[in-house]
Amino acid sequence: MNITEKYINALIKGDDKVIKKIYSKLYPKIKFYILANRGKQEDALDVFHDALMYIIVRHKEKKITILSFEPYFFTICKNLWKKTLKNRVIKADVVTLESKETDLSLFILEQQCFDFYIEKFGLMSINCKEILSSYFNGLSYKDILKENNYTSINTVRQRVFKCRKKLIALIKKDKRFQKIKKWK
Amino acid sequence: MEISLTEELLEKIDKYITGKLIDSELNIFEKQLKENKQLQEEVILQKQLINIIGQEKWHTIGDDKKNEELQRLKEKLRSEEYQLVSKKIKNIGNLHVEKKARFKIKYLYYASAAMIVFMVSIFTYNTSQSLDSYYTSYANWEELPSFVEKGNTKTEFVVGETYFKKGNYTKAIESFNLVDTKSKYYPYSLMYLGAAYELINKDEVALQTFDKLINLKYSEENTKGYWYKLLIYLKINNKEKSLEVLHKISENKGNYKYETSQKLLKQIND
Repeated sequence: MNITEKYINALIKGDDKVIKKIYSKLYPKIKFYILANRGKQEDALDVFHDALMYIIVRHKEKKITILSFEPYFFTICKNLWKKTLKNRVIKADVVTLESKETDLSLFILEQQCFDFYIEKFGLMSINCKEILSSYFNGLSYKDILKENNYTSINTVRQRVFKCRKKLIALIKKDKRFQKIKKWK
Repeated sequence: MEISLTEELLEKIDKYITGKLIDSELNIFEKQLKENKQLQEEVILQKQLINIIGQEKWHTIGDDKKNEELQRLKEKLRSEEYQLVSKKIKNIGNLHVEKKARFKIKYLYYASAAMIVFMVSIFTYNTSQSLDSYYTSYANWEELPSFVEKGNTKTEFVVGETYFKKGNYTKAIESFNLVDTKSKYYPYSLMYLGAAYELINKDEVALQTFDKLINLKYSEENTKGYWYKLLIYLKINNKEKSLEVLHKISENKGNYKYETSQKLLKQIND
């Protein structure tokens, strides 16, 4: 059994000893990330707790493939923190116990949505990934032309459109999209 | 009616999302949007793609009572089974923090070292990371050289470092700004100063501070300025500038973090 399986099994079984080990090994790094990004220790504790809960819920629902626990866990924590920061701008009210569960439930669906789009984007060619990343990042056709070896703005425009259509087709072809598109 | 996803329509959706439609266009588009469910779905999809793929923003969904999946998850998390799991994890977390607090000073340096190893391992295992996650992997301001224990004199530098270590970056900046440019601590004060500005998200000032460090040609520490500038560009996901600095570091084997920069250059370009 590798370390990833060991951690996930322990989380599902509620093995105190291994959960403590996960805290010892990973909490300092997560805390460092949160503190460096406008957070406090209490935020780091919340994020860490929610990330562990996320893994437990997702795995009990349907076993998910995790290649390496640490990078995966770090991504979940990072996304939870992004969501927290975004919520802080939107909400100013006191977070109740009930809304805490709502937040985590929403996060579980949002992370599924995130994983789905990243998975589909990963299926695109390197060239499409580069050009779409630039475009979705707000770069103009002119900027993209400057950065790459395209002959004209029109070529860039056509390339962006083709790649985008391909990505949309990949997304819509997947059965999971029918479920995801209802989460607005 | 089935809508055809033309180049023109996609560009219009983009302009709508980014608020670039002029008033007359906006009115027409909003009217179409109200009447056409398929168009609404296309707008949501494009918004999600822009947020997730382009800007790495978190795309939130609403607490919709009609969302059965969401309601089911909420019920599950409220169940006794999950409440007990949640409580157990919280207790372990709180105990961990209390225990660490008691030994904080003793273990500070060990924790920093472990953190670097972890961050480097993330970098090694996950090469498809975004630039800001490289920042997370490499940025460790606790590595900055410490002079507090080397003398008892309360110089501006020592005061600044003490504030910095306590996380009071504003006060740290005030003190480091008072360090004489002729002082042997001046290059180090620029490192702390840049780091402090970075930690309070004044990235532009931080970059200017590290430029000053780079320009101290007499100091052996000056090439550290490139590395620190790189960390900021990684944090703000500026690929062009990150590569520019990485190339600069790669020009001379004697430059700080030359080897690491070589690896990073390869990772970013791959």
